[in-house]
Amino acid sequence: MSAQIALGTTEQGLMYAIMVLGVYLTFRILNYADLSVDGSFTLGAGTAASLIVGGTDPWVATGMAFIAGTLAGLFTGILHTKFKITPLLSGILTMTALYSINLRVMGRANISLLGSQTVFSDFTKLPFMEEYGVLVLSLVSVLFLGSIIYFFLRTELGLALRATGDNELMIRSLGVNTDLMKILGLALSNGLVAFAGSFVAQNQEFADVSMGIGMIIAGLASVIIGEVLIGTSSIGRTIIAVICGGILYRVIIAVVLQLGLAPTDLKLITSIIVITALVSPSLRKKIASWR
Amino acid sequence: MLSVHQVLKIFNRGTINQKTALDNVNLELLQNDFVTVIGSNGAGKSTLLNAIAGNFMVDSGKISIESIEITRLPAHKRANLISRVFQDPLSGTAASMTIEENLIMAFRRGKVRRLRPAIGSKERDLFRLELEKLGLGLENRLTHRVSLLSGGQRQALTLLMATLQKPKLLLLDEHTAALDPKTAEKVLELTCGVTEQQQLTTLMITHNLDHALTFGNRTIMMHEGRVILDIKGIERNNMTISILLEMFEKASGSHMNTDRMILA
Amino acid sequence: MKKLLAFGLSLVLLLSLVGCGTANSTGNEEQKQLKIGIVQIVEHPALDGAREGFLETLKENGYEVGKNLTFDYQNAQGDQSILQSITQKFAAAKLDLVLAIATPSAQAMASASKDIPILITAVTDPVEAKLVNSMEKPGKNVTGTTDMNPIKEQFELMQKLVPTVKKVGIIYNAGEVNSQVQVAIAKKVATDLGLEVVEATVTTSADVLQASQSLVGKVDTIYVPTDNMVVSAAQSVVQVANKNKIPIISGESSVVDKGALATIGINYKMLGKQTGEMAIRVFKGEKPQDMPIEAQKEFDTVINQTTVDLFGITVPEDISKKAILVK
Repeated sequence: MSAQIALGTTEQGLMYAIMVLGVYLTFRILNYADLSVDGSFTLGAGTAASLIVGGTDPWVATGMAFIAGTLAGLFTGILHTKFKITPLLSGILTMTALYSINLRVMGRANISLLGSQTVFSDFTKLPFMEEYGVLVLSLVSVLFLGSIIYFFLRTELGLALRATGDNELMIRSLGVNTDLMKILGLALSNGLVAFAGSFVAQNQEFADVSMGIGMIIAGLASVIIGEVLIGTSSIGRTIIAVICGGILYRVIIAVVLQLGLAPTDLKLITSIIVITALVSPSLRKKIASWR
Repeated sequence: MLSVHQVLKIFNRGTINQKTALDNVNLELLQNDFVTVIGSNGAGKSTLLNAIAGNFMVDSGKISIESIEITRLPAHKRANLISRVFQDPLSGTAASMTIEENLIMAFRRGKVRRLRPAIGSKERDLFRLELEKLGLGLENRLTHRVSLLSGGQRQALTLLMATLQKPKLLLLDEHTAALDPKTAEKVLELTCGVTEQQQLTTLMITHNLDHALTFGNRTIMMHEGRVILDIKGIERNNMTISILLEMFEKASGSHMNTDRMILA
Repeated sequence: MKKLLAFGLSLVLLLSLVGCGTANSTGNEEQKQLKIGIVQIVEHPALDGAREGFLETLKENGYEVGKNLTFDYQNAQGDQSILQSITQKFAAAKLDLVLAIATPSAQAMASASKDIPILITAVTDPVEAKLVNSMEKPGKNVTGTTDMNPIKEQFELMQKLVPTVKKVGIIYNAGEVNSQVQVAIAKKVATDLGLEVVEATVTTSADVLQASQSLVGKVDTIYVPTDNMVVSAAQSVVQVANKNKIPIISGESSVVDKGALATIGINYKMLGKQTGEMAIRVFKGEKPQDMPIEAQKEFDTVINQTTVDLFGITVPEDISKKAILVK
């Protein structure tokens, strides 16, 4: 019985982990607090869903979702670099604009994908894939995207991106156009978030204009939980850490539900988990110094 | 090599805080000049370096390097010509990245960043060689994060990063001021070595009058946004600190706040 | 060390998921315990009312907690990703029935399980949401009740109470699909009746006051559909409307309680009860795929007497006879 929950939770966790990768790119690598995640997640879901019910091939629809996300990131980047709007405000402005844009993209507030052809419905038709198809596809996607990010961050361009978030003055004096780097990072990040949204919509078989609400909190919590538990001693390790953090976050929610705790307490518990994750390194040091 | 012509920069124009930081400054540097820059606080030394580096646009005047005019170029577009080492040892390197990653970024200074893997074994060998010369044991720590290094080590690394790819002009902004005396001495030694070896054109700001006269081949003194003294050759060789101070008073008509400088 | 901690924690968590499962299955087995789940997207008077009515009917028919029934009520608090986790849990728990309240909850549950009988309520258009193949023959494991507003009857009531009406203002949240559906129907009904519609949309409950004010001077009456957001901020609409002598016709009775003029419509508690009756039929063996989606059979006319007096309206006798009066 609960092997089913474990399976479903892991599948979910892997899809949301793609979103967490995106959040990691902006919050950690670029050191940019991008709050438009709630909006771009829904943008991805809505774009894919409306294309799918219109008859588009689901993989093409998913690809378009990714592109839509990159455009949202581009918009935020331009607001910040060209119009000098602060990072926080530019993300909020994009998120606000996306609310209306998402409604237009979807044409309505809710699109049902029950009975439609999705990447998952296609994949589970393959041999051996009926029961574990969703898990396999999600896992492969996460590993693929994670690897791309890993190799990208070790290229010259990737190093320049990382340096932009670490020491902007330095990398500028080394000849890098940091405005361009920020736009690139934001576009990539929101593309990943939108991709995740399209996967989630196809898995749950509907897209709703409110489905992005709470994503940024989930993303941040996942990044922090992963970093604290697995460590950040290298880029590769950190990427694995945030992916695991995404999965773990969903597992924690499922456990909380299983334990029969009131759903109203869920958000409080999320806060407690993140606070614990943040405080534990310094707490451990304090305890060690007492001895 | 470097030509600064009638450069003017006024900050906070029209307000109570208006300040003429650079007052129609003129300066010509020849190839291989090592110029030390001294002056009291607020004289415009750092502002001059920032103007040359492109951290802000000047109000009027011309700046050229080897007859390429750079006055209107943004900082990142001047990067292939100019290298800098800042006063804060932490600001010249990316703390979360490794030594070799920092070095490779500096190695590609001014070049377009591509999607190819950043570091190859050829570059690593080169870095090891160069790091050995610093004598700090860093050649064995290529994959260590820069945040693990001390201030002095980071400054030495920044210096190496600034000269890996030979710049047309090297700007040093009190780059030893925040280091302890022993490390400062070491870094200055390295500075001397590399500028001589690579025949670099250098502008070095320092508060230490002794260093100012010992290092390099030319010394300029700034006051209230202008260059008031420019000495080289025999005149400079025979210069002492007390005569320098006397000349300052004569040229500027005021006493220089000397404690920090003499005790530096 | 950290790696060990991480692995250990994940292992413990996953095992506890499995462990919880096995612990539950060795529960008491004396009499046939019916296990049902209730999933609701958000707290809201109408949705809560439907749930209460549902449980009431079960109780009246002998299905009681402690006797032969256990139920697990989960509310997603507006977070749709939590909705996913809830429906997954229900799907894995091999429940005898799930009550899904509101469209996102129903869609999530229908996606999570294709076998467990799912009863939906407070879903305006089950066909559009692809929950069922058709209203008469659902064809899948989903059936239940729709809260589709009798909008035509409501506009007709409006004309009877306010004969001089020409322009009708409608305030709604464009992000709620139920509202979009209702507004589309309302516009058609209005045209048929010779009325003009002026729309005002909101995105947060705080916008409702301003949206109401924007209609002053432009409309003769205001129509409030069964929109979660606007209904939760009904006070704002009533305040503005009553001050400016604009009668409100609403899609459901809670707004009339707050001061709107009248409604003829869904009583969510009754709807919940009706859904409860369908649930009992499922317990007795009927299959959801053959049970048509039901709409509320008899509508309530609810009129607010205080508002009637305030506006000086004469209520035609045939209406006042059947109406429930509130103050």
